[in-house]
Formats: sequence, structure tokens, C-alpha cells
Amino acid sequence: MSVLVVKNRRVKGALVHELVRGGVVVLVLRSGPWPDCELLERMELYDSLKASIDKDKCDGCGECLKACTKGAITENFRVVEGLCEGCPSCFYVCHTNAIKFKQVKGAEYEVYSCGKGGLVRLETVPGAREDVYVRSLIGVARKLAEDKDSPLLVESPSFLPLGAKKALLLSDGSPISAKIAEELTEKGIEVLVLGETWDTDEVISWLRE
Amino acid sequence: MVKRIAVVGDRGVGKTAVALELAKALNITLLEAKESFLELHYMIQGKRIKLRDFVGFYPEVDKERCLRCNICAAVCPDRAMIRDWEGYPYALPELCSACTSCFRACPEGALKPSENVVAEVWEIRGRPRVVQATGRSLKAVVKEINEEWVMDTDRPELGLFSDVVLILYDDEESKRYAIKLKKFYEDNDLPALLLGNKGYGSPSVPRSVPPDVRVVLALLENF
Repeated sequence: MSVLVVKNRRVKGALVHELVRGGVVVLVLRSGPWPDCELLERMELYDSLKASIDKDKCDGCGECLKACTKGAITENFRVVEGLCEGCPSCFYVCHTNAIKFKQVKGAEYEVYSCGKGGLVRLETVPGAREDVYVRSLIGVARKLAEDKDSPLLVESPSFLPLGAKKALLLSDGSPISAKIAEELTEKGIEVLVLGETWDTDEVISWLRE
Repeated sequence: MVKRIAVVGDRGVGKTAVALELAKALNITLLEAKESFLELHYMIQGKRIKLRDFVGFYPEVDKERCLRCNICAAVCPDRAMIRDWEGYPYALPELCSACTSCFRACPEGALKPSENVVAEVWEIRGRPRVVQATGRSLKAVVKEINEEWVMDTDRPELGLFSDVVLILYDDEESKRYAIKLKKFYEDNDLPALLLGNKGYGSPSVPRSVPPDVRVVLALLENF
């Protein structure tokens, strides 16, 4: 598995399109639609929990406010849903049993077959932990890559290497892109830097190695 | 005029450049909160010092008490708990955000807290003054910074700690994302401004020209 680190988003779509047609399986974030590909599967992931406080039961002791490591509970005991990650910290400290959880949609993903290659497209709900969903979908993408006998490329949320040994960096030519390459190399990751143009066959053989 | 402004948006829309110019114009702290790659120390002159490590508690398993019931993995919101070849759980420190859910969930009390750095906070004494936060537990860090700031972040949820959010976009794809973000902030009762920006990746905008933030400042006057 290799990671795709995107600093120059403008060429990402074109690169992913070419790689997929050339026989690579890519786990891609948000981009699309992909009309040339055949949709195999679409799933919604409803595994994200959000806490809420029952006003009738709450006596305002403030223990939940102290326990929450995400800063998701306000002074007047309301849960800011965008900040809540559904860990039961507040639930365990509440002595009046006022905390309830509900399940909300965290992400959706689609699996596509595109000739020799394939795609897994992930779109998370804003505020959901993108990296957690990417990590949990690597298995799905790996299975597709095995079926296709293709190398696997996973787009990284922010600049996390996700445990890969190789990184494909889409550079915008700025000094910051060079620093990203440097930091990845320091972590022992082999980096291939791509600018505005590239030789798709070369990139694919580098991914296969 | 608002005190805390978050600048968010897709990658490469110019968040950092706009946030930098805003912080200069308003003469307040620039807060860079990113999970994995900080860049302002490459852009701003000034002495850089580490303010602190943000330490959280990360679970260590006592194998003599553990029943291998897997409840700790089920409650973990970071999905940081995986199992070794004997079926005992262990937490990956790079995923754990130290919410301590697992300690409370364990029916046998088999998890012992061990210290783990979940975020680092740095300061650059330059103009503007910069505070940089990086790591797994940025919410806890940002919540504690009680001053006026302009925040440059790639995590949209951190925008919820601000008084107003500025969402940048530069093309169709980033605009779609920006509209989704706007809805997210409105659902959480926070005002959000959409702003088309010529990102630094486009060839027509040379990198040496800083973005003009006068329009943004005029918009912010209304809050």
C-alpha cells in the first residue's frame, strides 16, 4: 500500500483517473463523480454516536463538563454535536443518568470497478474523524486490490502517512511541498514527487514495486 | 467585531495565507491547528519554542485480569484498540486521543493508565505571534486557548470553538465542500461566511502576492 499526499488538489482528479484506468486501486476522498466506472456497492456508515443531555434529569452538577475531553459540552449543558465523538466519558460520570446517545451517519462510501483498476470513494460528514474512516476502509480497498491484482493507493487525510512505506506527493511547487517531502522522508518513507505533469506508466510501475 | 475567527476549507484554497493576513491586520494571535503537518514556522521569522506537551492517558492492558471480552474496543471512538495474536487488546498510541472511555468501560478494571503525548503546542515569537498545535487531541488544546485568535485549521470541527467561521473555496469541487461545511456550522448554530478565493495553486496568482483581506475585514465588521 502507498499513500497519496495531496498538496495540489487541482490535478488530483486527473491523476486518479489515469491511475485507475492503468490498473491501480485508489481509495479517494470526496472527488467524483466517476461516470466511466461500474458501481459495485454503496454503503452508509451509521456508527458515529452523539451524546445528548436530558434537561429533565440533569441537575447541573458539572461533572460531564469536566469529563469531556473534546470540549463538546457548553456551560448551559448542551452538547455541541459537531464536537462530540461519542465516547462515553460523560455517560460514566453522570449520576442522574441524563446522558443519552443517538446514532448518526458518519460517512458513506462507494466501491467501483473501472476496467483493470478500481475505486473506493469515501465521503465523511463534516466533523467526523476522516482518518478513522480511512483506516477502517483500507481493508475494503485492499480486498478490491487483491481481486484486481492491482497496487493500492490510499489518499491521506491531511498529511498522515497511515503506516505506508511509500508516498506519492502531489506538489504545488511551493517550498512547503518540499518540506512535506522532507518530513515524510525523515520518517523513513520513500517519496515520489509529482508536479503538474507525469508519466502514468512510470508512476504505476513505481507503485507496483 | 468578533474575537475568534476560524479559517477552513478544502486543501490548497489559501487558508494559511488568508489567516496570516487576517492575524496581521487584526494584530491578534494566529493559531495553527493541524493534525499532522505544521507549516507556519517555515513562513514566519521568529524564535520557536515548545509551550507544552499535552499529555493524556492511554490504556495498558493487565493480561492477568483481562477477559478478552473486547468491550474496550467496542467503546473506543478512535478505533485505536486492536488485538494481539492471543486476543488481548492493545491501543495504538498514534490513534488514541486519550478520551479514557475504555478505562471506565472495562468490567474487570484490567486497563492501567499510562501517559501518552496526544498533542504538542508550540509558539513562534514573531509578527504575528503564532501558536501551533498538532496531534490527536486538538479539541482539548484549542478549548484551552483563552485569547483572541485567527485559526488556520484543516479540521472543520475545530471551527466550532470560534465566533465566526470563514469558509474558502476556489473551484467547483472545493465550493461543493464549502457548502457542506456551511450547513454543518449552521446546524451547530454558528455563523459561517463563504468566500471565493484565488488559491495559491492557480498559475494566475503569484505566491509572492499576499491575499487582500480588506473584503473579509469588512464582512467581519457585521459580527
